[in-house]
Amino acid sequence: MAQDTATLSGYVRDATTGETLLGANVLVEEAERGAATNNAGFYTLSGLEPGTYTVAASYIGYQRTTATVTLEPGEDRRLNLELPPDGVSLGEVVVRDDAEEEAERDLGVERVSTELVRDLPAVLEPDVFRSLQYLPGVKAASDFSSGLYIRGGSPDQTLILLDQTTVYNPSHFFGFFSTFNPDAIKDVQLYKGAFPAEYGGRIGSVVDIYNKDGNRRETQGGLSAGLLAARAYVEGPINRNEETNTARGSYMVAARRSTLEPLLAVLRGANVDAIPDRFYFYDINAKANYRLTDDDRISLSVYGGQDQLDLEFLDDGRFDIAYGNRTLSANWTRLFSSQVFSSVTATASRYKSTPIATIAGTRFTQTNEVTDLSIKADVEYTPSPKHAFKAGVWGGGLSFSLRNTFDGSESFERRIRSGYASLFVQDTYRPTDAWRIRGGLRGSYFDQGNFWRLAPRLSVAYDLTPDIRLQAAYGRYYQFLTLESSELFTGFDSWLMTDEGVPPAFGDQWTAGVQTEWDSGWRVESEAYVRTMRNLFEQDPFLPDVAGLPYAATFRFGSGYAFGNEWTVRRNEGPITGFAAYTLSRTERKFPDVNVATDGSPSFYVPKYDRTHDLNIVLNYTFSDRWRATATFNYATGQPYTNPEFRYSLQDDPLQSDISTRDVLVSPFNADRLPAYHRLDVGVQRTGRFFGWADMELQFQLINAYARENIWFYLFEFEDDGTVTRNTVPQIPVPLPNIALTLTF
Amino acid sequence: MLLGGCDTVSTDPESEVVVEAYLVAGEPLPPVRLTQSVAATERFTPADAAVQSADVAIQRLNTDGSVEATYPYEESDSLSIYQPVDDTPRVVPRTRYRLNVSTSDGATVRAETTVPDTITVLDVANTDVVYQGAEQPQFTIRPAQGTDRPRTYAFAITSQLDFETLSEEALAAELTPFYADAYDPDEDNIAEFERGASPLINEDSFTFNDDGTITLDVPWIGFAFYGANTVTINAPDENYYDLIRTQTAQQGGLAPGEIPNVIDRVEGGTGIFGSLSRTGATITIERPPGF
Repeated sequence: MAQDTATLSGYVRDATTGETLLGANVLVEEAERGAATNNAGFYTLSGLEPGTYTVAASYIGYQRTTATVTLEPGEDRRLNLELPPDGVSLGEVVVRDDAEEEAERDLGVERVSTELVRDLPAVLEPDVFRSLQYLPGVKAASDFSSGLYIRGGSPDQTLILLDQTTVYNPSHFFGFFSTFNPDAIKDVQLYKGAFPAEYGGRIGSVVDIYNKDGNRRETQGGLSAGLLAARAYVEGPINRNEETNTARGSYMVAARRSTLEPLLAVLRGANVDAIPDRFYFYDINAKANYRLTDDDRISLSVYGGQDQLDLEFLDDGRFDIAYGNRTLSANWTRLFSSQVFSSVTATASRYKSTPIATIAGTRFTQTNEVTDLSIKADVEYTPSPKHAFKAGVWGGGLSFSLRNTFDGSESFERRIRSGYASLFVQDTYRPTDAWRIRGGLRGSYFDQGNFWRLAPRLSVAYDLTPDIRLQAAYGRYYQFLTLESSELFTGFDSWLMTDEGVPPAFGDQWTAGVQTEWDSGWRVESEAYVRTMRNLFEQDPFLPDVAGLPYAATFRFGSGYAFGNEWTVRRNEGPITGFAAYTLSRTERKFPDVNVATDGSPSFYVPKYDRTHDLNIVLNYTFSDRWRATATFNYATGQPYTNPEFRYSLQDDPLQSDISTRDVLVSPFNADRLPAYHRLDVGVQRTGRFFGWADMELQFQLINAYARENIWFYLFEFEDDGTVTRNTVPQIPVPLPNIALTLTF
Repeated sequence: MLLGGCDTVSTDPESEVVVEAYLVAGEPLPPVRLTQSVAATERFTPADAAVQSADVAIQRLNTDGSVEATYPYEESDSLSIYQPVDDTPRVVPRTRYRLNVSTSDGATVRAETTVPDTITVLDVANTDVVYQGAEQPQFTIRPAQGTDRPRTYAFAITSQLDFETLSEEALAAELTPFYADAYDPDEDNIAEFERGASPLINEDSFTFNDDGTITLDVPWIGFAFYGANTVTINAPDENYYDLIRTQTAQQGGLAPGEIPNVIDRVEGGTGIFGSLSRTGATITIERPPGF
């Protein structure tokens, strides 16, 4: 009888800092019942028979913790659990029950620890998105891009959330790095596809990032200096009780700024061409949270980042490029009971880019601004062991403006304000211990164009044996925004949205997979996916000028699909940890005027980010308490490219000088492949004390260790003698060292 | 197994006859150039690639598509160029023309163009100005009529310096600052700077006047040389517009390494059979003080 059963709930935290742990696993051993903490670090296990239980909590990178509780009939017990970090017992093999790993075993879900982000060899600066690029199904466009190409989708198909707030341009250095400072980040969760109904607005995937709440035990800070940027952070408790060593709240502030100015000054002094007058980025993350009552918590999170480039070129040429993001989110969580958890969040996000080019007294400007204000409310209700309901509403206003000027005159101006709303309901149903069925429905409304869309989601998991889980999922997804971006340079990024004549893009995703858990911490996973991309809309790249055109006429509409299979072997415990991931995949797209068949209709083609084979190996080896080594290796099929087969030159063009020609290439579109890409990065870290006053970590890394000359793309140039030369534009062509020192005090 | 079954089509190109002719409203029928496209690895010169002994004719069509007049062409002394047998007919604006080519090996090539309406210059202001001064050269025009898409223009600015007799150094001394810095005597032929053109610009980028006329400021970036320059305003037809915009995209419109083919609107071959209307005036650019 329900009234005779008991409920166990609480928060799971880091024992040293008091940080809540998201997606941690909690197991009631005798009942073989498990649950995962939600995005607030809270778990609920209802329907427990009265009795004495051993409750275990686990989380990757932390020691398993157990507690014994005796539950009375009808009791509603709050049990907070604290997990010590692994640091003091590296190498210990922890045996974990399958039920503990519920959250880690969802299809297409990857969780990346910030420790891994910091440890992985990185070009100049540790980076969250570049760490994600090692995961199966996630690809990079090049060594120079932090953009995420996930399961055949372009970067704009991935929803980027920071503390539940949409981030519209998550890049620094014009795409080289992502905006997320690893010092400030607590949790990174990637949904590669077929994500549940609680997420929407993109047809591809979701990166859900949470800032650290801050240390609730003591004030702590850190400094870090690398070749590109310096970072600093401080965190600590608010209203701390010295006797109980507990605090009602905590705060965290982390800042990062590029440190290239001295190098640029030296280069300018040496009269090196094309050295910018100004070139910097910065970002600041801050978060504070406070426990109002045992059941009410509030938090405020802000982010600000900016990139600036001022570059003079030739005589009388100048670029002034600035872009940046601002986000703010205020969150209130309330426990109405141990079975009802609610969260209300107000968010604000703004992206603005203002590239200006002035060439020979002629000024070109483009101003793109996206402002997104929203409020969302979610509720989780766990009435019984068989059902866990989740529902939410999200509403807001999105304003977008794009204004171009040419030579002082406005050549294009568009301002759109749109209200939007979405509602989702979701039930996770467990008819037996072996089955889990999660069904959901998400409805979305976009005021601009008056678009209503319904998107069903369904996933089924079946434990064939305690060590083998089979899963399948389906989802329909809609997207009301599109991003105009360049792989070369994200400073001109512009977001555009649906409107009359520009309906939302949509797609279906199907996934199926199997996960097996072997002895000694080995895990093998295989997952297949198929997805469609329909009504893709993007600004027509063949339009020379959009001035005066109806909004819908500035777009081209296309379609695409992707399918693939990902295999992953992981080991998370022991002195050697890491994973090997192989992906066999294909993605194709079709747009007007590209890869035109003989009958004039467009045909499917493979975009530049298609890779048939993609192999990633990430290994960490702990020599001792002080020394660790990391190595990453990537092998991928060469990128598609267009290899010209024929050419001609038009001699008499009235817009060309008498000796100039208009040269034309005739080519099968993206029908050739660059040589295969492969790269090995290695790194070592030494930890210790820095002159007795701070903990120290010194990193030395070598990117592209064996100097593989990977090709980024070919550039074809017409010569005066009538020939065409092929120039190779390389990726990182030489071993690139990186050294970084981090102090924590 | 997994990767089979997709309907990707990659059209394998072949060597084709390349036609090139630009009909200009109100001007005599243009020459027609016929060449053959070559492998990208081969050297292309018009003489080597010339298509010889072809039957070439341009036809003027009525609105119902019937042929109103046929203008036969003959091979000229310049390899690859065919000239009209009768050079007196003028190209009629807002009229459709057809090009017919039959090569000696039996290939037939056909293309059609509708000539844009003429552009009328109503006023030219600031014809003698200081480079990047407060006053900018300015045209007021009555725009061409009768196109389905927004009217599009391209400025072409041609220096009137004497490129035949002046030395390269003397010409280089007349370059405006941006072009002077871009010009490399070891790499560039200064004659390449003689004429420059703006990108295609929609008329909505300019100022509409209440009387339906348009006022266009000539951007400074177009002037490569001080001194007298002929500024023409060109209105291309659909074929020429498509060629320019898609050929421009070949140079970086998509992701790096992706090169789309041009839209050529030529049956049985490739190239351009296009038309345009144009008008212009002479603008004199003076050096700013201190330059």
